[in-house]
Formats: sequence, structure tokens, C-alpha cells
Amino acid sequence: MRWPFHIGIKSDFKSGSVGYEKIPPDWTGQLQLLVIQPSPFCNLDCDYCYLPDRNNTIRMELKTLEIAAKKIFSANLPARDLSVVWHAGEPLVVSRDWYESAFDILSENCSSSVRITHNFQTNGVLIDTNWISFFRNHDVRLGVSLDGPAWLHDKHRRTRDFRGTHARVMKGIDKLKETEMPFHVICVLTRESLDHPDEIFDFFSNLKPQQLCFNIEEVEAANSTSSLATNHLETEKAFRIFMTQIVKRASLLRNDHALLNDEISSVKERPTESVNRRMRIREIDDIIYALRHPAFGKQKGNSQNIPGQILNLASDGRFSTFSPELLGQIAPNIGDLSLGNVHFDQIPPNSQEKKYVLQWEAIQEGVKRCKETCSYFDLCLGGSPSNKLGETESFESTETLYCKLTKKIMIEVVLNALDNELPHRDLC
Amino acid sequence: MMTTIQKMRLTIIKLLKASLGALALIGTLPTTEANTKIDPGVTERMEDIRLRLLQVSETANKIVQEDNNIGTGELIAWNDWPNWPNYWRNY
Repeated sequence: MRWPFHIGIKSDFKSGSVGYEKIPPDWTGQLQLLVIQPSPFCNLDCDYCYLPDRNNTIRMELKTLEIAAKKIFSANLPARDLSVVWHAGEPLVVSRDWYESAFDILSENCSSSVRITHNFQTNGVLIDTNWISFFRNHDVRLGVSLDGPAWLHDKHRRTRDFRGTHARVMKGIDKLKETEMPFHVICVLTRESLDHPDEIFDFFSNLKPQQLCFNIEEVEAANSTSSLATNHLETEKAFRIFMTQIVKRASLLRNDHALLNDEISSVKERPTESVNRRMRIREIDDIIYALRHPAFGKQKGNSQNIPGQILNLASDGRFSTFSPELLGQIAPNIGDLSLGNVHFDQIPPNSQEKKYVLQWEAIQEGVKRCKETCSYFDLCLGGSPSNKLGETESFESTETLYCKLTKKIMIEVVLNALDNELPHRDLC
Repeated sequence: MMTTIQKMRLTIIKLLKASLGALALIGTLPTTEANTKIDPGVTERMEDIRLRLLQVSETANKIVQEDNNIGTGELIAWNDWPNWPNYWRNY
């Protein structure tokens, strides 16, 4: 059986217990996710958006990207597979000509041993046939943000003059489907969403994205409140019921892999179609994948809390590591979390750089505390620094609303389903 | 009239009381830390489910691979998703 080694579950982590490393780890060969902000501007004004500067229409100078690319690749930071995500603003407001040049800059500076995959996460309203041709020409992986049926989506995902955007997004998605362009969906769950699991599942089942990803309305960066952050016990209960129903509807086991006879027979009957036979739910897939991974139980952290695995590049050249949402944020006792600007500073930063060390030590302390106190550490690997900072104003904290809902409760729901469906040991 | 020494003693006692009060107050303040501890039962259950999952996957793979290679690619693909993991999809 082949096993993958990818982001956050690499087998070659530095040895040592979480929280006891003396100096930040080497970034060489670690970079797996490069988040680039072509422009901070967004043509929408969703009420839960975490981006602080979305009215700013500046565009990244290609010179800035070129300097960043030279520094990143000459320092051999990328891993073998590098995902470049064009986001942190609406990526489609920048012209295709700009992207053609930007892609060229990256490929010209990239060593032949690194494989770059481009990814766009878009609100979908600007998708047209020209963009689809561009995506296809460059083998772009596409994600669309869509919160379900119109009545739910339009409550939050609006234009600056408060008009809903569902109809426009669906026009874009219709074009994707007409041209058989694959896409995944990110659906943000608000408190109201939790009362409608079947309606949401039915909506996306008809849409047939490659994968459905549930984000929650998070408290982080520019979004300081959440409909999920009130009446915690009631919200947790509603989230558990919602996800239990989603897992049940997704038939995660029966259609996919676990019940052996079903698996064998379905593969025999439909060897080519079977790959797409059900809609994948990211939250379910992630947990099952982690459980099956040979390095399960041996990991020290995830890509958001280990430096150098994610690099975030702002349109003005500032850069950071750790959670992308942290770029441009301020943390108590640390200050601005940017580690410098590609025009003036080196990537990676000096390992003695005070601001970098302060971030790293605080984040590492938080991961250590998670490991010491949480039964689910091996599936979460220390949480998200941006959520810890947004909710508790500290990187050293442990449980957040984000982890309570999307990790702990989600894991319990999936484990319950697996426990019910899997044959007992030595019986299959 | 209090002597200087008596005044100093009183000041020290007041400071001590204030310090103790502050410590007591700190002890009652809510913290951001969750009152959680590792539950061995959860760990054990997770390991049991993990082993059952692996057992099914390995058995399925073996049988399908032995069966004229039908579906081998699909099952292996499941184990080696090119998109995994999907952290980037949060952004």
C-alpha cells in the first residue's frame, strides 16, 4: 500500500518534543503552500469576511513577485510539491494578462525538481468562459465560495450596496458545469445554517462539486464577532446535530471504502465511474485520511503552526509564515506579525530575529499545551494560531470555538460513524 | 500615637493583604485555557477505530489487486490523493 507524505504530515519533521526546540526549524525544503495576494481588493463585502483591507484596489507589482520568487527559490525553500494559492482578496479582479506574467515569473525561477500547482479561491461572480479557458490552460484548481441556497447565501455574501450575489455565483457555476471544469466549494456555516443540514446537503448534492468544504464563521482578523460565538452550549449541540446529519447523508463508508463487500463489488461494477460516485466532504476525508496515515500519532504540529511550511505574500511585498490570516495582524507583546518585506528583507528571516522568535515561541507554547491537554491532538496537531489570536488574543491558548466545533465535535461525529459502520477487528 | 516601627509593620501587613487579595482574585479569573485533560478512553477508542479502518483498507486493496487489477488504480488513488491535505482550501 502506498502512502502519501504531504503538508502537515511529513515524516521528516525535526526530532524532539513539541515545545522544547531551542531555535526555529530550518525552512529549507519545507514550503508547501505559498499564498499570494495579487490585490487585497474584493468586489464583494461579505459581512463575515476576515480581510481587513478589501477596499484597497492596489495590485501587486510584478517586480515584487519576481523579487519574492528569486528569494524563495534561490534559498531552496519549496518542497517537491508547491501549491500556490492566489487569494487574500478576490483573485479574479486582477487581469488574466497579469497572471500570465506572474505564472511565467514563478516557473522561470522555479527549479525543475519542484512541481507548482496553481489554485484560485474565488467568490465566483466573475467566472466566464475566458477565465475557464485560462484555468484549463494552466491546470488551475478552482474553489468557489458558496453558502448553500440563495436565501442563506444572500444573507451574508453581498455587494457593497447590500445586494445578494447568489444568482451571479450560480451563473458562474453553470458555466463551470457546462464546460465540465472541476471545482470545489467552500461553504461558510453561520448559526442559521446549522438548522438546515438537509437543505444544504441537497443543494450541494445537485451541484456536484468535487469536494464540499465547511468553514465556520470564524472570529479572526477583521471579523471580531460570529453568530456561532453566542450561547456556546446550544451552538455546540446544533453543530453536532448538523454534522451528524451531513455525515449520515454523505454515506461516508458505504459508498467509499470501508465495508469490504460493498467496496469490491462497486469497484468491479463501475471501475471508472466509481471515483466520483459521491460528493466528498473535506471534514470527513481529512479525519479518515489522518487516521490511515502511517505517521499518525507521531506528528509535532501542522502547517499553520510550524514555520516555513506556509508563506504568505501581501500585494505590497510584506510576508509572513504560519496561518495566512495573520499577515498584517497585530499580536500583543509581539506587534506586527509580518516578518519583513521582500524588497528589503531576506526570506526566511534570520532565526535570531526578535519578532520571528517571539511568534514562534508563543505558537510553539500553544501547540505544547494542546498536546498536553487535548485527546484529539493527533488529529488536529495543535490548532490554528490565527483562531487562537482572534479569539483569545494569545497564541499560547488552547481551545477555541473554531477547534471545539470543527475539530473536537467533528472528530467525535466521524468516529461515531466509523465505530458504527466498521467491522470489528479480525472480522473483516 | 504609633511609632515608626508600628507604622512600618502596618504598611507591610497592608501590602501583604493586598498581595494575597490580588493572588486570590487572579485565581478566580476566567482564563482562556479550556479545562480539559487527555481522556485515555478517547485515545483507546480512536486507536481501535484506526486499526479497524486500516484492516479494511488493506484487505480491500489486497483483494482488488489480486482480482485482475480491476479497480486497483481507484483504490490506490484513494490512498494517495493528489490534493491532500486540503489546508489550502481554507484560503
